[in-house]
Amino acid sequence: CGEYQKVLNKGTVQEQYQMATKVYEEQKYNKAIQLFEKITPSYRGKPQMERIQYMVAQSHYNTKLYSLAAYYFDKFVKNYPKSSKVEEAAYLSAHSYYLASPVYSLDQKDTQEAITALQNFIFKYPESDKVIEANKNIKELTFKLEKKSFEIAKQYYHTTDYIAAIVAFDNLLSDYLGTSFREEAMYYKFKSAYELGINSFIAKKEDRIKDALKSHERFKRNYPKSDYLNETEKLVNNLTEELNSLLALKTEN
Amino acid sequence: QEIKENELKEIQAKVDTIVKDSIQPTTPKTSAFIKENSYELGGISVKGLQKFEEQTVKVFTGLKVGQEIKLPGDKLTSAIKKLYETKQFSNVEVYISKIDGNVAYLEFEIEELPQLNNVTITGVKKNKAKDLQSDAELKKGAMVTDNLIVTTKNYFKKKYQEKGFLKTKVTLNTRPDSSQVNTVNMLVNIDKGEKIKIKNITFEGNDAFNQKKLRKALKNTKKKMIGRFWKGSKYIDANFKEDLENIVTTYSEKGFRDARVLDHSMTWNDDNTLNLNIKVEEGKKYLFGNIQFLGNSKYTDDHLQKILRIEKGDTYNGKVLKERVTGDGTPNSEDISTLYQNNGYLFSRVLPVETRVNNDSIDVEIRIYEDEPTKIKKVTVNGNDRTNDHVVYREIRTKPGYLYSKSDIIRTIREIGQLGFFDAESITPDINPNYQDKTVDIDYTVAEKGGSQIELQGGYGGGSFIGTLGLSFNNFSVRNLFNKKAYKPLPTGDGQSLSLRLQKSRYYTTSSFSFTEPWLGGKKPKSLSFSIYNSKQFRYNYLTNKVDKDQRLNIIGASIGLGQRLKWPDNYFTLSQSISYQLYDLKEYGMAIGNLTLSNGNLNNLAYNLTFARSSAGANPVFPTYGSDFSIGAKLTFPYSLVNDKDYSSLELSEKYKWLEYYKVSFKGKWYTALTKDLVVMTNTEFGILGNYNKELGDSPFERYFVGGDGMASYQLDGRETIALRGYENGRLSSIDGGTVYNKFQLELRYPITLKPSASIYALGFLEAGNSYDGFKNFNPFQLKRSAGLGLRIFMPAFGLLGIDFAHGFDPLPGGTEKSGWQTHFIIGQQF
Repeated sequence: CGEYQKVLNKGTVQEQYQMATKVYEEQKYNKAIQLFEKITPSYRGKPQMERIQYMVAQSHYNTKLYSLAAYYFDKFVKNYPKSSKVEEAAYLSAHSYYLASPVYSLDQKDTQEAITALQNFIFKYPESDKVIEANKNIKELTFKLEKKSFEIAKQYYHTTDYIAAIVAFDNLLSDYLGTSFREEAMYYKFKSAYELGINSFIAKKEDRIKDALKSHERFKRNYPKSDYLNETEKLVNNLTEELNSLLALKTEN
Repeated sequence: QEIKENELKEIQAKVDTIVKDSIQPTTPKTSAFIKENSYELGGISVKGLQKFEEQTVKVFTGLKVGQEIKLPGDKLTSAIKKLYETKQFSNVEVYISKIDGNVAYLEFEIEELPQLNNVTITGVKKNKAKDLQSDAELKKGAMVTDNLIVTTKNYFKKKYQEKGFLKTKVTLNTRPDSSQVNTVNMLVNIDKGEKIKIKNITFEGNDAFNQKKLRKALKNTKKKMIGRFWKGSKYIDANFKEDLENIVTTYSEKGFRDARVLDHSMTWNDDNTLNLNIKVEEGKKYLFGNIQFLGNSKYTDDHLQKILRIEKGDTYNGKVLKERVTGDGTPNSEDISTLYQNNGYLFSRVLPVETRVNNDSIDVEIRIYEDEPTKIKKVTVNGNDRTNDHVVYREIRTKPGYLYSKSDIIRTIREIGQLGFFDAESITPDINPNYQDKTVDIDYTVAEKGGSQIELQGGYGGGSFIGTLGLSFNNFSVRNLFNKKAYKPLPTGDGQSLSLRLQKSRYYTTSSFSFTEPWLGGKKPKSLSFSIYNSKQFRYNYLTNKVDKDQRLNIIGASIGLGQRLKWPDNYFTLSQSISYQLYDLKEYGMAIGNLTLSNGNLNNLAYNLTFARSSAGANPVFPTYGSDFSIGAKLTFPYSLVNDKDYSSLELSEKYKWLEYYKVSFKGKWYTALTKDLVVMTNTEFGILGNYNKELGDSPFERYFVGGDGMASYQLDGRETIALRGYENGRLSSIDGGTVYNKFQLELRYPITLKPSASIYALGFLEAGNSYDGFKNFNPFQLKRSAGLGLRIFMPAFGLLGIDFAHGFDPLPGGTEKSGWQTHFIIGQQF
C-alpha cells in the first residue's frame, strides 16, 4: 500500500480522486473514505461531487456504518434531486436507518428516523419495487417501538409499582392504537389494578377496587375469548368479595 | 404605452428579487415580454463563472428547461434564493436573454465568492497563531464573505482584550491567490500591545460603605497589588460591567434598595495602567415592612413563614427575599417555590412583590398561584445506546402516575450518574408540561461513557518475567454471553460488573474473578456479588535464581454477598451482608505470623460481614458536590476459643490459628459541601477497631490496620487494611505487626479543572490527622499525627484514577524525634 499512503499524504487532488475511485472499485471502502474526506473540500460545487457523495455513502454502507450511510445518502438525495440514482439513494438512506436501528431496549432514535424515511420513500416512489419491503420494515420497526413501551410498562408491574404500571400501560394503549400488545397490555393493566386495589389501604380501597373491576370489564369486552380470562375471572371474584365486605363494613358504621 | 416590436426584442428585462417595476408593462403581442405572464422556459445560460461549471449552477437553481415559469414569479425568486443559500455566491442577477413566442430564455449572472486558501497570522507566536486559526474556524476552502472578515477580526480583538491587552489592534487583508481559481489568502496582523493593568480604583458618592469594601464587591476587577496571583489585575470590559452590577447587589443586600452606579470613567496612566472611577448613589437604607402571603391554600402562612425566615424590621435584602421565594439555584434550596415544586405543583408560580414603600420600610406580598397538582404521565430515556432500558428505568424516581416533584428529578439525575455508565455531568431532564390535563412528561437525556478497563502488562521483576491480564467491565450482560450479535465488542448493557485478573511469574500465580448483579431478579434492588480468588507461590531463591517447588503457599478465597436498599430510616440507606472464606495452605513455606514463623499447616479465615451505609453524595461520583456517605460495618468470625475448651497457651502455632478469630468494627463518614459553584469541601472521619473474644489467645495477627502513606493496598497475605495518611511513609504509623485501633480526620478542599467524561481533573488541598494504636487501652483520639498538602487527581474511564500528592507531615514517626516532613504520594486506581 505504499502508493496509497503516498497519494493520501502527498498526492494532488486529481491523483487522490483517481486513487479513491480505484480503491472504491476494489471494495477497499475504509481507504476510499479516507481519501474522499481529503478531496471533498476541493470538489465542492463541481460536477464530480455527485459521484463522490454517492460513493462516500456507499462506502459507509458497505463498512456497516449504517448511521453514517443513512446521513450521507440522505444528503445525496437533498443535494442532487435530479440524479439518476436518487431513488436508489433515498431507499438506501431509509434502509440504512432501518439497519442501524438497535434492539428495542436501547435508544430508538434511529428507529424513528427509519420509519419517517421509509414512509417518505413510499410516498415519493409509490411505484418502486422496494415498497413491499419498505412496508414490511415499517411494520417491524413499529412493533419494536411497541415492544419497548410494553416492556417498560411491564417492568413497573414486575417491580410492583402498580400505580406507574397502570399509567404506563394506558400510555402504550393510547400511543399505539392497533398494537399487537393490546390484549397483553389490557391484561397486565387489570392485574396491576387488581394488586393495587386488593392491597390498598382502606381509604382508597373502594375506589381502587372499582377501577380494577372497570378495567376488567373493558378487557373482557375487547377480548371475550382471551386465554387470560380463566385467571382474571377468579381475581374478579376476589375483588367483588372484598368490595362487598367493604361495603358491608361501611353500612354497619 | 406602446413600444415598437423590433425594440422589444432588445429589451433585457432585469428581474430582481424585489424590483419589479423595471420591466415595462406591454400590450399582449407574440414575442413580447409581458409581465407576470407564464412562459415555457427555453433555456438557461450562466455568466460570470470562474470555478463552477455551468451545469452545476443550473442544478442549484432547481429550474428545469421546458417547465412553465411566471416572470417574475415565485419560481424565479426561489431559484435566486437557492443560489444564495448555497453560500457560494456574493451576487446573483437574472436577465431575460430572449423571448421567442411563448418561450423565454433566462440568463443568470453570478459572482462567485472567493475560497479561503492560506491564512497567515503575524504578530503572535507560531503555535498561538495555529490555535487562533482553529479557534476562529478559519478552514481552508471556507467561503470568504464580508461577514466572515468582520467576525474574524472582532473575534481576535476580543480574544486579546479578554486577556487584558486592551489596546489590541487587528488588521485583516485578503489577497487573491494566483495558484488557484478564485481563491484568496488571508493576512492577519495582530498587534496586541502592552498588557493593561489597573492601578487604582476609586469611588465617589459612597457613604455607608468605604472604598475598601466596595473594591471587594468588584469580584473580577482588581487593582494592582503585590502578591495577588489568584486573580489578576487586568482590565476586562465584560467583567467590569458585571462587577458594576455586583456593587448594586452588595448595596441591596444591606438594605440600600435604590443604590445605583451613576457613572464610571477610565483614565490612562503613562505606564500602561489605568485608573477606574465609579460614581455611586447610595439612596436610603430600607427595612422589611409587613409581609403577607396571598393565594396559599395548600400551606398555611405559618408554614410558609418558616421557610421565608424574614421578619418585619429586618434589613431589607432583595437578594435573600428572592432566594427564599424563588430559590437560589442549588439542588438543596429551601424556598417557597421549591416547596410547591416538590409536591406536585408544577404549574405554581410564586412571586415576591413590593407593594408599598413607607418611609424606610417596604411592605412585601408573596403572591402565590398554586394551580393544580400535576401528575407525571410519560417518562422516557434518550441516548442509552449501550445500556438497556430496564437498567436505567429502575433508577428513575419520577414514575408515571405519581405527583411531579423537582427533588425526585434531582435525585434521579444523581442516581443515574452514580451508575457509572453515563456522563454524570450531562444528564438532563426535559420537562414537558401539558397544561390541558395537568400532566407532565419527563424525558431524560443521557450520554454513554466507557466504563470498561483493560489491563495488560508484562514486566521483569525479581529475576523473572511477570505477566498480568486484567479485565473489568462495569456494564456487562451475562445473558448475552452466548449471543454473537451482542458482541460490540463485548456484551454490555445489563449493568452487571465483572472482573477478571490473572498474574503469573515463574514462582507465583494468582487469579481472581468477581461478579456483581445489582438487581437480582430485576424485581427489587437486591444485589448479589460473588468472588473467588486463588494464589499459589513457591519459595524463590534470589541468589541462585531457582524456584523450589517443594516449599509453597496456596491461598484460596471466596466470598458471596447480598445487598439491599432500605426504606428505613430513609431511602438512602443500604444494608449489605457477606460471608468470606480464606484458606492458607502452607508447606515448608515459613510465613510470618506476628513475630513467629509458621512453616506447615492450614489456616482458615471464615468471617461474616455486615455493613449499614447511607449514601447521598452526588451528582458526579468522580467529583461529588453535595450530600454525604457514611457507613458502619462489622466483620466477625465465630468465637471458636470460647466453645472448644482448648488450652491455647500450650498449642502449636498451626493449631492456635487453625481457625482465625476476631471481630472488627468500623465507622466511616464523608460529607461534601460546595462553598462556591465549583469549590467543594470534603470532610472525612474514620474509626476502626479489631478486637478479640479470648484474652488468652489475644488479638489476631491477621486483619490488622496499617496507617500512613498513600493508602494503596499492596499484595499482602494477612488480610491487612491499609489506611491512607498522607505526609508519612506507607504503614509506618502503625507498629510492625499492625495496629488494632485507628482513627482519622480529614478536611479536603477540591477544585475541578475539567469534568469532561474523557478525563476529569481536579486539584486539592488537604489537612489530615490520624493515628494507629496497639490495643484499645492505648487509644487516645487526641494523640494524632498531622499533615497538610496539595495534590491533583485525574480520572479517565479507561485507566481509573491517577493522582499525585505532596504532603508535609508535622509529627515524627513512632519512636522518632524529627518530623516526617515532605512526602510525595502517587495514587493509582483508588479514591480517598
